[in-house]
Amino acid sequence: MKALVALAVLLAVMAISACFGSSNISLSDIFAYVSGVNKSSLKESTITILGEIRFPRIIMSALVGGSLASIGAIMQGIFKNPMADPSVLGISSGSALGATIAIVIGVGSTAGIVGLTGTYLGAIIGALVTWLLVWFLARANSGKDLNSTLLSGIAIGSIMSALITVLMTLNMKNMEQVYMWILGTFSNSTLSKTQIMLFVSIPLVLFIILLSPQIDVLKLGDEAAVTLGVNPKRLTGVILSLCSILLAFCVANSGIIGFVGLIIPHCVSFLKVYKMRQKVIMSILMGMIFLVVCDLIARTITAPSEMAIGAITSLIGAPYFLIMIWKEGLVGKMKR
Amino acid sequence: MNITINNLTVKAGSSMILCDVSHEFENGKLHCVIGPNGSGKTTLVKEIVKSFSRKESIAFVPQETFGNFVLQVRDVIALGRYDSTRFLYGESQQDKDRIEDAAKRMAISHLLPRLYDSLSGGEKQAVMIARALAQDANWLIMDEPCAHLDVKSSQKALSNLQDIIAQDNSKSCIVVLHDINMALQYASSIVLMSEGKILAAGKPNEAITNESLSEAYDSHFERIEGYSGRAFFIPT
Repeated sequence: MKALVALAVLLAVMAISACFGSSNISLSDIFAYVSGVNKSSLKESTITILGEIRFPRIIMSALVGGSLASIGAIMQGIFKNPMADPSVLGISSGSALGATIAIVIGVGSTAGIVGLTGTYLGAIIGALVTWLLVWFLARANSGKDLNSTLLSGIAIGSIMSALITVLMTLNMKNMEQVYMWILGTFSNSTLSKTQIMLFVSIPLVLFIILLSPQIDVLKLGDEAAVTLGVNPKRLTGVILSLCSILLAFCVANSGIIGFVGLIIPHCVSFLKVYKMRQKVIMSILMGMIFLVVCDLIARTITAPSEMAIGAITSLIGAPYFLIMIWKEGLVGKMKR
Repeated sequence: MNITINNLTVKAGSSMILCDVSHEFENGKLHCVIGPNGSGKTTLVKEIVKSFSRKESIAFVPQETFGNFVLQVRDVIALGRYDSTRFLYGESQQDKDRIEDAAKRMAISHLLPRLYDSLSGGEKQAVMIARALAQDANWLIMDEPCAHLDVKSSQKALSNLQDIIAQDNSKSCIVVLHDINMALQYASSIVLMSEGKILAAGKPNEAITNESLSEAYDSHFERIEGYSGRAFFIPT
């Protein structure tokens, strides 16, 4: 029921978001475009704007929002830590480093495989390399303790961030490009990127949803989980790998957008959704709504220039979050 | 099916946790494992749990899982049915019956809608025991299930285990306890451990004597007989 309401809100928000931009389009035109009814009455330019620019961007922001929020919900469950979010494994930073390297060595806007830019591919390679590094280090620690994975991730993340700073300082001329990218933006979304993201994120997210009830079982302790047919080490490895790949594509498409993965799962707890599968599904929907709204604000509030979406997510998300904490006496509710 | 342990040795660094332990836990009995702190009780039951392959059904309540996590009590107990609801996560009528029956057995039906993290330590423990009961496994292995329970709840937990074994001879339990007299009252077989070894094992009144207890706990015990003829041991 809550999910249906959220879905309705999501569709409404997407439609409204499609109205606004450099040229405003009426809701009825958007309905005509989406439903195909009376589509012939639409202007050529309207169809181009919606199909090539606005909808790819809106769908991209929804996909990234849903992915980040689901990763956050999963991370908090796996690490049994309310502070965990997609950035804790250092993957965002690793991804950003990959993109930075691509920009600095000058292949940033060179088209590579299927028209994807060097930045995009650099981000994905950076993220995956980082994840392998974290995974390898945590395994060297015999994987006894999840916290060692967490700490390795944080340490590697710091190294990656430091390397980005070094590269930026050495290459002042590219600094703005790198900087905008680190702050997060959907302004680079294209139809083909959105299509790739659709094909990547939907199966990954479905797989994560399928596995998510096992995270509840982990709460009973590793030995008890084994008796219920859940292998804690394998589950953690599989889920974190899936999340890492998903996160790699998020960061490649939009840069680093903080805060979504941290707060959306907590907001879902306020809706009294606690079972991991429901929580992940609700997090996805709320994350989608949140980022679609934030991106609408980011691209309209200072039009024709754009605000970095990272600033918007924090400026809207943080006060809302504080109000919830204040109202609900969050401390108890945040424990996982 | 009996559980057999042969020459089990477990080391942590240079210290011996379990030293060449062999024992056969017979099917259809309530086994209690007692012994002083650090005698290897928890390691023993964890090793038993690990040695089981998945097909032989076993439910385990560890010592410390009573951390705070937010989930409705009913859903916590339902985790015990996870195996059969794995893919679609839909509960069958049998699952529902098992969950309700387990809650009833532990007298926590009134807690079902509450959130797990809002419960007291003892209530949480009762929920964890109910979760294991809902699993309907052939072997129920519990590490200090009575640690946070009051006297009445402890009795309820142990007499439930007795009932389960009495009703179905394919069921068996291994329970780690600290209360010697409670072990005497409920166990059909006792394993007394000390310093990583099994000091005495067998029927309660054979395994538990002044001598074996004194050796295990390095303290003197007095045996007192109640009017009913039941024996109690108290440290002196």
